[in-house]
Amino acid sequence: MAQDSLSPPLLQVDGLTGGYGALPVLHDLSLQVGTREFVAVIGANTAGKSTLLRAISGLLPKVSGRILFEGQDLTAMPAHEIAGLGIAHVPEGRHVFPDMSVEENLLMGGYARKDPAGAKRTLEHVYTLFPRLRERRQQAAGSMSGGEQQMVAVGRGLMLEPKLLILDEPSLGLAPLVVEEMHQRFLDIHRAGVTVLLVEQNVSLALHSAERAYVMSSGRIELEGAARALLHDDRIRRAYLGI
Amino acid sequence: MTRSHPLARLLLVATIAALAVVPLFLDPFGYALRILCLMLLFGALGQAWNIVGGLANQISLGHAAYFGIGAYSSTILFGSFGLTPILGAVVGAVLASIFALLLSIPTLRLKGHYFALATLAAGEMARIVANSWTSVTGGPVGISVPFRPEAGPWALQFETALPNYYLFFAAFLIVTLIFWRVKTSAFGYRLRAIKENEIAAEVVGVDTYRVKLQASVLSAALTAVLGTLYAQFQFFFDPDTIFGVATISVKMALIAILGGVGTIFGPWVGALVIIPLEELANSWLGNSLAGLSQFTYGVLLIVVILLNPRGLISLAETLRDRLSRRNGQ
Repeated sequence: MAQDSLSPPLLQVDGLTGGYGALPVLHDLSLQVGTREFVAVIGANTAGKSTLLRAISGLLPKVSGRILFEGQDLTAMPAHEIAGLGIAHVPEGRHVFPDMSVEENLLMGGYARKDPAGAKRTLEHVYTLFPRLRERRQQAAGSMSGGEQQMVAVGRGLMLEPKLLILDEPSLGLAPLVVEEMHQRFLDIHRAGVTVLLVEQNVSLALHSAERAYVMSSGRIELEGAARALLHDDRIRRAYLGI
Repeated sequence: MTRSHPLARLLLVATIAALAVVPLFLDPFGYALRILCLMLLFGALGQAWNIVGGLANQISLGHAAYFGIGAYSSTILFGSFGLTPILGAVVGAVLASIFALLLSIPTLRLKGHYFALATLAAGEMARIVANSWTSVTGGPVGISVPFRPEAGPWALQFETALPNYYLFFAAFLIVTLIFWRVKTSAFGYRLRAIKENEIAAEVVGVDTYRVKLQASVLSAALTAVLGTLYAQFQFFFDPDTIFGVATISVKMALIAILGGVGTIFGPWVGALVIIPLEELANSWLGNSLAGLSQFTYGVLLIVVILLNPRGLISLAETLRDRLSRRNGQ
């Protein structure tokens, strides 16, 4: 469950500082994600959670510090190359290709694969995970419900057969039942061997899904620990769970 | 892609056949043939613009820069060194590609209106340079293509407009074919991904900057070649027309947008409507109302965007859907 202390983590962020223009959002931030771990980052709005994810996947142009993935430095790498290393980022707000069909969206997800021939197999896997997408494979992704679009976005990420799946606020704006269902799928995906880094405003759900979690506030890591322990931490309960 | 309706295919073949045959029955020195020539040229220009404007949704309002570079390159090289405009067109295409590359450094990361305004400024910059750099361009008085019929076909000059017509016809078909190839290729899929959602394209691994750059360079090179053809057809031009915002840049964009942005036959329909309309406006009102064509463009653009942003070609699609529904398909 916890990461093996002998092997280096899959993802290591050291002293990350960065933001938009002259305004830094992240301040000297460090975190690690071990191979096959399920890690959540929680915190209030504006804590910089999405900015952190954008920095990792290369969507934030100017950062200082170090981001290592399998020992490779991502800090100066553009997003499209980072995808090629096996990091699938499911961005906040879904971002599907609206006029493409569900299947075209998924196939685009396999764009950076080293073995394009394997995409067909992964497509089957995604359809098994989300049967709804198989039913709607010919439908334009933009015409689907929010929950279905989120399935498309997650499925598109899986098409890369990623080593690391980055999920940014996947439950934002979705109905509670759909959110529950999505998180079950995330657990399935994790169980199948994918490392997951999840940012989620729904703190209770995040801590129930993840093994380990970081608490972010104002661009810094405030707290880190096993998800279960944080769930019972008084500070977390008071600040985020309203208990 | 939707399957083409047999009626649409018939219409396409009929149009191409008509374009091939009709000019033979027209006065080779006449006005009608000139209009047809301009329709084909501007149809091709709209199509070249469509590669980057339509497929990648990078609304450029500065394509006149490439057009003018093509026209000036071949004309100056022919006038000063006797270089055949065929090679002049190649030089123009290379220079326009370099200009597109340089322009991409500050502009390609811009989106929407910002990109449109930056390209508009680049086109204007080219116009100002051409007006001031008198020793090379001849300045505001314009430049003539020397008439040297003795040089034979290499001079790309013709006594009547008929050979020009077929040259434009070939260019029109070639640019359309290139557009179609791009649109239906893997490269076209990358452009489409950028158009539909640039962030999503980037996270699935599309090098969005590079893809946009490749499309811009292709579009610029084709536009420059068409600039050379235009110069050889008109024999005279000046910076304000060849680098004009309304005369070239906006007209190219409008032809594609009015017809149906990003569609293969959009620029065909756009040119079919815009060019005759412009000629009519000019002949009815003459020079009494300067700037009227610009005004017409503005009104047209507003009407199209308000009524049907997908352009005139989508009316044909609606019609087709209705027909096929009636046939019980």
